[in-house]
Amino acid sequence: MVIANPTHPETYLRLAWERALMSVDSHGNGPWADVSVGGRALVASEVLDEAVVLAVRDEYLEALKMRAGHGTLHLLARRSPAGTCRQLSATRVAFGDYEIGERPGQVVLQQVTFADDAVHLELYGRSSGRASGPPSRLAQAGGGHRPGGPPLATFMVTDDKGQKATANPGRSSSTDRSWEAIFSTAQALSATTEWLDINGVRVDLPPQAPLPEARVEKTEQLPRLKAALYAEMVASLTQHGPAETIKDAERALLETGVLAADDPLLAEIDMVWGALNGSGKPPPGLPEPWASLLRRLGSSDGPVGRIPVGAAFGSIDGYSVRFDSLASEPHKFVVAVAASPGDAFGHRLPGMGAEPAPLQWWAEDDRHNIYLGAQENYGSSGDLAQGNIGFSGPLDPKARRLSLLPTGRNERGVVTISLDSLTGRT
Amino acid sequence: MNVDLSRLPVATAMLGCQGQSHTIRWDAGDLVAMDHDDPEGERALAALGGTGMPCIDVLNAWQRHRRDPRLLTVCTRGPGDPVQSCSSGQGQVGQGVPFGAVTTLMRGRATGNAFLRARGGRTAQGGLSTFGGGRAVSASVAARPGRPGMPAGRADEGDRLASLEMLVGLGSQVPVRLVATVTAHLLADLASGAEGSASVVPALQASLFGRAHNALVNWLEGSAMVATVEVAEPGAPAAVERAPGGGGVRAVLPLSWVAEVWGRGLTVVMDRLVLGVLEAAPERTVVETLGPDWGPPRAVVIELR
Repeated sequence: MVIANPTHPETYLRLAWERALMSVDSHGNGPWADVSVGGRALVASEVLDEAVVLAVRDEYLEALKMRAGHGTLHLLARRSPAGTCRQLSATRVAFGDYEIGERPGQVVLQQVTFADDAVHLELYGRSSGRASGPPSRLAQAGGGHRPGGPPLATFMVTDDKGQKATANPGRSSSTDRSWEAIFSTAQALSATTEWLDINGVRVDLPPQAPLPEARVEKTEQLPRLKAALYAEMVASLTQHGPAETIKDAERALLETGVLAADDPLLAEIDMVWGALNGSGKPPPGLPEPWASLLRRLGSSDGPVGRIPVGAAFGSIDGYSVRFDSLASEPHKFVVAVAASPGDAFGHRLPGMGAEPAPLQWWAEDDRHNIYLGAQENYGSSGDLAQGNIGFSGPLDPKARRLSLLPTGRNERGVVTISLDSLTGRT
Repeated sequence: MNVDLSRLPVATAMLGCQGQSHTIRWDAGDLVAMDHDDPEGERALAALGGTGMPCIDVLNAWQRHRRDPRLLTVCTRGPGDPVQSCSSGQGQVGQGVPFGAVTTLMRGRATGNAFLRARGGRTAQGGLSTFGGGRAVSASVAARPGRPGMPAGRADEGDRLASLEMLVGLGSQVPVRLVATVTAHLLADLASGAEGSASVVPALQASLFGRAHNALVNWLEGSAMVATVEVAEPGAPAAVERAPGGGGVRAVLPLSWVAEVWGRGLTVVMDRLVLGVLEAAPERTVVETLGPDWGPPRAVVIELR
C-alpha cells in the first residue's frame, strides 16, 4: 500500500504501521524494520519529531495489543523499561588449564572471572557418556552426575580469606566427546585471593595484572542524517533481524521527499552497503571507517590465545560497560562483556526506539585496522546484560595493541590493551 | 465535507450493568444508555466518586474520545481484522468479535441494514457483505478503568487506554459507527479551519488507507495484490482501477469514505465495491459501486420495504 509522493512524514510512518498491523502473524513477525528504521530516518532528517514517532508507535502497539497473539505480547514486553544502571567495576580474570577432576581432562578450569557479585568458573572436559560404576568423590560432593555434561552439579569454592560459596551451573553445551560450562557463585569472593580451593583442589592463580586505563571521550559528530544512516548500517550488520534495514531508511527518505534519488548521500550509502556485502575489492573512495573495516575481513591468520582485559566504564551515554577477556582465533576474536542496564545489546526488531541499538562495538589496532563487533551468546535481565562480542575479521598478527571502543551516540569508551601475551608472542 | 451522521443507521451493543443486560445505542453520532433514566445525573455522580456503572463509564469514555484520532488507530479495519479488548484484572470489555457472519441486532431506522439482516451476509449468488452486522454482545465493562498501583502519570495513561478499550469492546457494530463519528468530527474541524485540526490529517489518511485496503482485499476475496490508495481531491470523484500491467489496484477515495461508506458497514454490496453514497434516506440508500468486471460504476439501490 503506497500513496502518491511525496508523502507527509507522519503519514508515511502511519502507513508503515498500517502495513505492519495487517501483516503481523501470531508469532509477532511483521515488517517492523519498516516502522522502526523509517521512523528513525525521518527523525534524523528533522522532518518529524521523535515525540511524534514514539506517540505513533505507542498508538499502534496498543492497536496490536488489542489484536494480540503470544508473539505480539512478546513484542510489547520488549518495550519494558531497561532497568537501572549498575555501576560495573573492572574484574580480575585469570586464565589457565587447571585440572580439578579426578582424571586428566575430566574437568579443566580454563578461566576464573571475579565479577562484582559473583565468581564465574569456565570449565570444560571430556564427556563421560553414561554413568557407570560407583559415583566418584566429585560426583558425591556435587550431588549428581549428568551424562554428557559436567560430572557434577555444583562446586564449593573457597578463597584465601576463608570465604566460601557454592558455584551453580549456568550456560553449558556438550557433544559426545566434550562439554563446556560456566559455573557461577551467588556471591563475590576476594578478587585479590592468591588461590581458590575448588571441591578440595587448590588452584594457584597468577598475580593480577595492572588494569588498563579506561576513559570516555566525546564522539566525532557527523551530520545527523549521515550518522543515523551509518548507525542503521551497523545495526544491519550486527543485529538479528532483517538485514536490509538500510533500504527501509532510504525508502522513507525518498518517499517523503527528504532526499532525491540522485542525492550524494544516498550514493555514498549505497556504495558502502554494496562494499560491505560484496566479496570483491573495496571500491576506490570508500570512506572511513568502512575501508579499514573491510581490510581484515576474510583473513584467517589471527593469533590464537586468550588475554584478560579487566576494564570498566562508569557511563557511556548512560550505559556502564565492563570488558573481561579477549579470545583470539584464526578467523575472529571475541570479547567477553557485561553492560548495564540490560538493554545495552539492543533490540531484536532491531530497535523500536530512537536508536537502533544503544551501543556499537568498535575496535581499532595499532596498524589502523578497524573491527566491528556483534553480540553473540548473550543474556540479559533488567539491569545487566552479559555475553560475548564477536568482531568481524581476525586480529592482525602484526598488531601489538588493540583499542576497544564501545560507542554511543555522543560518547565512546576507549581502553587499549597489549596483544603481546597472545600465543606466539613474548 | 460534512458528513450527516443522522443518516447513518442506528447501532446497538449490549453490556452487563447493575446485574442486568443493558443496551448502549449509537444514534446520529451520540451514545445513549437506554436503560438509565438519568444518565447525565449518574455521570455527575460518578465524577464525584459515586458507584461506577459500566453504561455510564462507556458514556464518559465516549465523551473523552469523540474527537480522538487514536480511536481510528485501535478500532477494526473491517472484516478479517477482529479486535478484542485486552483489559487485565477484573472485568473484560467484550470478547473477540469477528466482523461479518454474525446475527444482527438492529433497531430504529435501519434502512439498508434491515435489508442486510434479511439476507444474512454474502450469498453464493453474490449477495451482500456487511461488517456492520453486529450481534448481541454480552460484555461486562470494567467499572474502574484506572489500574491500581500505577503512579499518577501512568494511571492517567491506564485510564485513557481502558476507556479506549471500553469503546473498542462494544461489539462489532457500534465501534464502526464510532469510527465514522470521529472521522466526521475531525473532517468538520478540518473544513472549518479549527486550530490544530490539520495535525490529524495523517491519522485520517492512515485510517482511510487501512480501511480501504481491507475493503479491497475482501472485495477481491483475499487475492494477493498491491493496493495504491490515494486521497481524492475535494470534489473529485472516487475511483478504483487496475494498475497498468495487472500488478495491483489503484484507489482514489475521499477521506469521508470512512464515515460515509465504511462507517455504514457497506463496503461491498452484491459483490460490488462501494465507492460512495449517492442518496441516504430512512427508507432508501443509493450507493455508487464498481463491479468485479471493472466496468463503469453503477448505482445500487438498497430499499426497505
